[in-house]
Amino acid sequence: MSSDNRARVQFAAAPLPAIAAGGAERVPVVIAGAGLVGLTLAIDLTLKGVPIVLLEKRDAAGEGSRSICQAKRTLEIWDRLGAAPPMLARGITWKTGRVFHRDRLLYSFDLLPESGHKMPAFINLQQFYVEEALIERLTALGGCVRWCHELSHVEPHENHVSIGVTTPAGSYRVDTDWLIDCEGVRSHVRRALGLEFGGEIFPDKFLICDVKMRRSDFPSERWFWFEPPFHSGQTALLHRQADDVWRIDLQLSPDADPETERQPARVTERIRRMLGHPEFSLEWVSVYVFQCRTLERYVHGPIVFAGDSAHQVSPFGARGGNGGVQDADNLAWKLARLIAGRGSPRLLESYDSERRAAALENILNSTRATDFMSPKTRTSRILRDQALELAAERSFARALVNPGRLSVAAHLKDSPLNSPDRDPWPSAALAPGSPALDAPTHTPGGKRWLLESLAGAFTLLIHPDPKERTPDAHVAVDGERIDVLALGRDVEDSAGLLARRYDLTPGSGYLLRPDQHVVARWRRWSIRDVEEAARRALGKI
Amino acid sequence: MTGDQPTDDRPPAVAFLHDASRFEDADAFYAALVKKLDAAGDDAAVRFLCRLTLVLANEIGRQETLLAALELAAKKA
Repeated sequence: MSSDNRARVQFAAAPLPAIAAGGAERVPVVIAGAGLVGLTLAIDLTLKGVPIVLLEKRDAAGEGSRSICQAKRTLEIWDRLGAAPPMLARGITWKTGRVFHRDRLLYSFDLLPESGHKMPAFINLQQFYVEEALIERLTALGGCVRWCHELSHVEPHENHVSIGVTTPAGSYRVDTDWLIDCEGVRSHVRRALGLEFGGEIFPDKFLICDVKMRRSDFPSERWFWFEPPFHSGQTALLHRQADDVWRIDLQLSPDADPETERQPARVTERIRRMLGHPEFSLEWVSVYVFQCRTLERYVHGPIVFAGDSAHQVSPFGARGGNGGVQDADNLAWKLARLIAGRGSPRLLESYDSERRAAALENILNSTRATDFMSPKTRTSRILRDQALELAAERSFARALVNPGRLSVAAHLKDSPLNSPDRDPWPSAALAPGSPALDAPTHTPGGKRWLLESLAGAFTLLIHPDPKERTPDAHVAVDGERIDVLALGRDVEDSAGLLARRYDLTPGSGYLLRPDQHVVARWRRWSIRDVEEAARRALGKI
Repeated sequence: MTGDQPTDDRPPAVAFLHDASRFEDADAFYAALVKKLDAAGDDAAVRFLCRLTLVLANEIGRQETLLAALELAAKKA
């Protein structure tokens, strides 16, 4: 399928666990697959004190650059987990996109027009670098990946799962309360359970390649072409990655032969035509088809699916890897509370409903972009082309042009864990279900971004009313600790953006989940409001 | 909306679209439209109609109206 010129960091096969003959290892959580999603979940659960076993059949981080566009929300999640700094240091930061029709610039866009956020709109970084940073973080926390340990057998029971694992040194069995499948598109667990994806596979094929070139006239931006002069009648996409490597996606005709299209001489000629010079080398080449598919359910008793094991989208929009990381972010705190006996089983049902809704939104966006890029009939192609022509002349038509709507944080507006607004708020931007917005703040310890203060616990963010007593640093609801973040006491709104973005006025407050989503907000809150909202957010009412 | 209320068995999706004419000069608009189509020829006419649809859609803007208009137009197409 692909070639990869990079020298990959290889890991030795993990030893067999010490198990008595005929016995089985017993752990609360087994994660299958140490890709972006499995590693993110492993780190989050480790930080929450949940013992895990992370199985990976490979001996190295993933092959090829694959998921390169790491979105703002994903970076915020990895920052919360302490894994983002090496990614930010190596990745290419960008926020501007340009869209061309033939050789004419239609428009450009800015994905993060306002300042006052710690994380950029995107960084471009090869997936193997991201995985290596996550592995480093997991190792620093005392965790590990069991390299070359392949999940070979799955036997679900009502309250646990028996798993067979094959390694170069022999086989063993693990019994676990929870099996989280992050193996990806070719999931063994999904096949073993006989679960099928529903959805659509598109006929169009795409050539995806990484080229290394030190000489480049292209800035660190996302450039997308409809019908470019160098690739007649199709689409093309260009992104810069770390190490002077550029990602190029070229649409092929539906009847293109993948084997022929992967031939280096053929790829080289296509790229030379695009770049206008031969000063590049091929790093990685693959051919793929668009798939927009999902499982009907992500939770099957003690087996939970996340990332590409649960859903697939086309890559335009960067919604695959970024959506999978949000799955892990959503699942970790719920699973940790279930295991600790502090949450109801409804918490896990909410993982299913919240993340399936997010996946369906990703699939909808992905399908629309695919349909715009590949009109199915002569008439729909004429309509598409006229939309492109109009976009060059009139700005309103730019809204119709769809070169992939880029990944943003999911708004969990229909979540059963939310407490609906009872007060009027001028903006829906931070309605229950919304991801928290960042803002620069000062704390007694110095400068600190708001999201850094939302560090994996429930948090009550309040603007204290001077006429009332401000609660202590923590309050407890049914054994669940809620951190209190009081404006003026715990954080200073150093740029005025916190109060503006949250519309905070004296007496108002927000309750945020451990994954930094709003679950409730009040113009005037009371401790009873907070208790009720927290219980609902834990699936208890 | 006086004289414009749904009175028949139209499906709900299109029921709120205007029944009464809102044209200032329907004959003049129709004549101008025909003139453009006739001048364009078949292929160019399709391109013209596509552009016209997008321009008018932007002027209308409201999603509910646009989707209802699509349904109404598709009924007898």
